[in-house]
Amino acid sequence: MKMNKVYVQFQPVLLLLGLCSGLLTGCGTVNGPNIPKALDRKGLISTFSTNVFQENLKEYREAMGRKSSYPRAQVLRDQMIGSIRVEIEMNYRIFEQQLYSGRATFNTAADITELALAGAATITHGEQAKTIIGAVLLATKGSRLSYDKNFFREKTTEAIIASMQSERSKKLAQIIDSMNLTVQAYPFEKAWVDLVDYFYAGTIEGGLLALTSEAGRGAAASKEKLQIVEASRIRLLKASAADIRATGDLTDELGKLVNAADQAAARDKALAILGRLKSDGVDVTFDSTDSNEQLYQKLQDQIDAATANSALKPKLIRAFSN
Amino acid sequence: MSVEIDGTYTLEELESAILDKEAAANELTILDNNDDERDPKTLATFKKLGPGKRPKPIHLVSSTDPQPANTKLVCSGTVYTSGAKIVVAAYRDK
Repeated sequence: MKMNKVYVQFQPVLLLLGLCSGLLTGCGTVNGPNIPKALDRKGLISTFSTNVFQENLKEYREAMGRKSSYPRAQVLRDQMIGSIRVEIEMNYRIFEQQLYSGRATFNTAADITELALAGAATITHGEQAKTIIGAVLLATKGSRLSYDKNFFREKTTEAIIASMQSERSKKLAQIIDSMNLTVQAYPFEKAWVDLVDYFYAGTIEGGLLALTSEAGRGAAASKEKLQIVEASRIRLLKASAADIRATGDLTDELGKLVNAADQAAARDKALAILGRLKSDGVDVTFDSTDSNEQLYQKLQDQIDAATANSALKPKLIRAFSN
Repeated sequence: MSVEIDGTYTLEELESAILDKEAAANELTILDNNDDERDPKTLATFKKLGPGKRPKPIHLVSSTDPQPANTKLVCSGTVYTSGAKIVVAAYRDK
């Protein structure tokens, strides 16, 4: 009999909660379009398997053992950095999306529950039921506050994400900067540490740590730093089939000098080409004390520079053909 | 060495710019982008080969397209072509 009385008192509450749970389950989670297969983290193209990583690392360490293999080691270093970065990027994007939707779902559920309980307390008849509902409402509010405090330090999702993005931009700028260094100056082991930092910059802990009053300024500053790094890069020009052929021909001509049996004659020719370039207004420095390798490298550097400077290629063609 | 390429280039123009750079004794190792739709740029990292050396021809294809015959995968990455991001794979002749 007593049980029936309590049930009658709680009947409006149960009805309201039932309605609310229906509302919650009815909410679909639409956060964006489907991920293309090539961008899917389970996709073959974007997965850097442990085996491939171990093979690359082994080959890299072997290459670091011989000075002549440093160029190969640098390729492997850059490949490993690139592949790890792809995985970090993909996982971060998914994490960021889940952070948004997960917290939004929790907050929406908490809002609805609080509203439902408040509404139920108003329309319920019995005093005992009102007391119980009030206690549950208090507990719900407390749990929400505790969740916000303990997991998010009462910061909004947007603020945490902005902070994570700011930190990630800083770390990425450091990595891109350092990749311009030789493999001796920036070995993979150093890059590995930077990649670990880059990964943790994209976690809630990393975001909260960096979230100070400077966060807004920091985001702008690190973006600016990234832009400076990018601005210092060479910009490649559009190249026609004739341009590519001309660049290749120049490199092949230089290759003939490098591999010539008569290195004294090849050296004279390299000096003559450099001399013609200089008289044609090209900014190139060389002198008679330069080794053959240095002279050839200076010529190759000019050919390389011509891929970003359309005025230089005709000068090179003239200098090589004279 | 990392270089940037105008993100408004078509895939063919992007491939040509990379081929030209490789013809100057460089070898492509990484493809990436600057993640800026207002000023889109593809970022390509090259390794310097010795003077006079040229790598075998490279082919840039959309990741949804099949691998060209007699090639091996060099790298893949998200780049900008015609102002939009796409995932491409770079294959080199064997």
